[in-house]
Amino acid sequence: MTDFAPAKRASLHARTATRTSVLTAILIILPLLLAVLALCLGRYIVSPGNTLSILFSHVLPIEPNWEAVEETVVLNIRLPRVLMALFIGAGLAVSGAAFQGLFGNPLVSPHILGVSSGAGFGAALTILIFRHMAFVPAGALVFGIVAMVLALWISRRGGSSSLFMLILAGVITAAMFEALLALLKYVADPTDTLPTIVYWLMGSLTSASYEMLAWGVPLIGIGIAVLWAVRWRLNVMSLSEIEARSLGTDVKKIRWVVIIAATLVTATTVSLAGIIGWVGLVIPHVARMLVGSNHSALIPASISMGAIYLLVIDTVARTATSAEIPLSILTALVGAPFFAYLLKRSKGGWS
Amino acid sequence: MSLTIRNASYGYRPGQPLFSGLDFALSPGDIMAVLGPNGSGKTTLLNTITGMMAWQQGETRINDKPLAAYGERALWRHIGYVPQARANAFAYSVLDMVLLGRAAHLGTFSRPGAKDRALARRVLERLEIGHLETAYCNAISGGELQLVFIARALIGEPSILFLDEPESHLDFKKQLIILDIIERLAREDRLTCVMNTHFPNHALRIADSVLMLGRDGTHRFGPTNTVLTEDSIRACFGVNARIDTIVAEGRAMRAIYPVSLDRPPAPSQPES
Repeated sequence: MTDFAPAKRASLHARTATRTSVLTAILIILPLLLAVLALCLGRYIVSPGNTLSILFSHVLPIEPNWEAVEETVVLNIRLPRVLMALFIGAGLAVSGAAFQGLFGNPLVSPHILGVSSGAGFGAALTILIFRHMAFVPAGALVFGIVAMVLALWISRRGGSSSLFMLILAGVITAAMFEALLALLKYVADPTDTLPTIVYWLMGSLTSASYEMLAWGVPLIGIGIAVLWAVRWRLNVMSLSEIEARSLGTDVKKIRWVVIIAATLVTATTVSLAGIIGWVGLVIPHVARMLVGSNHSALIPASISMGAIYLLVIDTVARTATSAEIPLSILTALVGAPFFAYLLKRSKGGWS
Repeated sequence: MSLTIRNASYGYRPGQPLFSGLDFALSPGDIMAVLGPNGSGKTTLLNTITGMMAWQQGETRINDKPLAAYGERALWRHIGYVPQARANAFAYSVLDMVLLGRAAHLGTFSRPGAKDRALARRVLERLEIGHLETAYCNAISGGELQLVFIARALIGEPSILFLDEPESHLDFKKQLIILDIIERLAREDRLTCVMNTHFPNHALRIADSVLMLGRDGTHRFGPTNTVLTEDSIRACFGVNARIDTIVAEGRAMRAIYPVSLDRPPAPSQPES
């Protein structure tokens, strides 16, 4: 039991408030700083000054004193990729945090409803049929949403679905699409389409482009905005259903809203960059260590930290070696030991 | 607000009602204790009275209007619900947990503001747990957590309070603290309180009326002293008990003591 005299409590409030505003500032500024840094880095290094000038030359009258190739590298190659890393990282982390809150279970990841398996199958199917990458995002998005609808349909019983049924339905859906995906891999041409499918599934941002951003960002943005709007309600939703209802909350309605928003985000990230594991599971935990369990703070923190994490990972992926390392390998390889370290240090005491 | 139950029935299986023909009315400031053995449907009763589960027959009326007339959210501005203290998967601070009690007053996309926080602090002070404000709900004792849940119900500013075994699993002193708080809320704030309990003594101590549920779908309702008798305890719980009056601190209190089992112990059944 913690016991504080009133005066001590007041100073504690003040200190907490200061800590909160400093943290908020860091969580807003750090992703932007790192984004600029990521734009500088690569096989062709551009100075931070030139990078900023190139970025601002489109809104401010700045005389170009950089080489044309620098502008091409920063604007056409790196910027779309950096933006995609930020949005996908934020999206995965925030949908993970939302699912964990909704299910009242910190072990849930955005892939819980079989969305990723469905999207993976959709991607593999389009690779096999069209032998071209252009239709892959569409195929992944469609089958990701098919998987979600299927899971929701399986879990429905007498007009409503319990969380328990939802999780089971997700397991069933995932198993089915995993099997179908395995079948596709089995029949795929081992010299041509099979490697394409396998590499795609491991996750990568190499194909990042403004065309993909044009449809990906609105979809992810809408999902994030919805989850942001209901972030305080997620606290209520994490309680038992009876408690949530007794707090005047339309549990069914908000559950659908959260599930659809978080699934939309997840399916879109998978169709943009393949299956990137670990971010949606672990970033919410790290965010919880930093800002606590209250979703009013956890959702914003997850957005920022997810964006930071995937940006750093992707920058490492494309600069560390000449052959790019698939993202899923790095997110887990870097994330798992880091998470283990945090767990050891905090003795799991944040949850 | 007044709470009326009219000719209400509920059962999980047809032909085997948990309770049927329930008929009673509570006025503001009344405390009703619900007693009954495990599996007699005490929690189900709370869920049906509050409309979380639909009666199969009959209805609940608040201030002589049916529940449906209020609408889901407005209804829960009048009703407070205190669940059994149970740990949550996430460690919310006491203040954050109590603020969730404002949910019925806030829009879906709104968050509590300074006024709500001030209200929460006042309620915490009143329950004498103001010092716990920044503590985490999974790091405080069961009794403190129960007080937090009562505070959460109270900042919804309800007129009727439902408590599901609020003093179970608590030590002797904490039980008394909870009972005193419920009594104060009824006497001072005129809250109508419905409280499930496993302790007949607690009903004798604070309840104006008692609803006793049997395992066979029967029930007894009436003023505490009329309903809670040695005979009814034997019929309902299968326990031979003595009820006597103890005088202490100038106050006469009826107390119940379980003497023996009424029947030879039957093979134990799994609890539901």
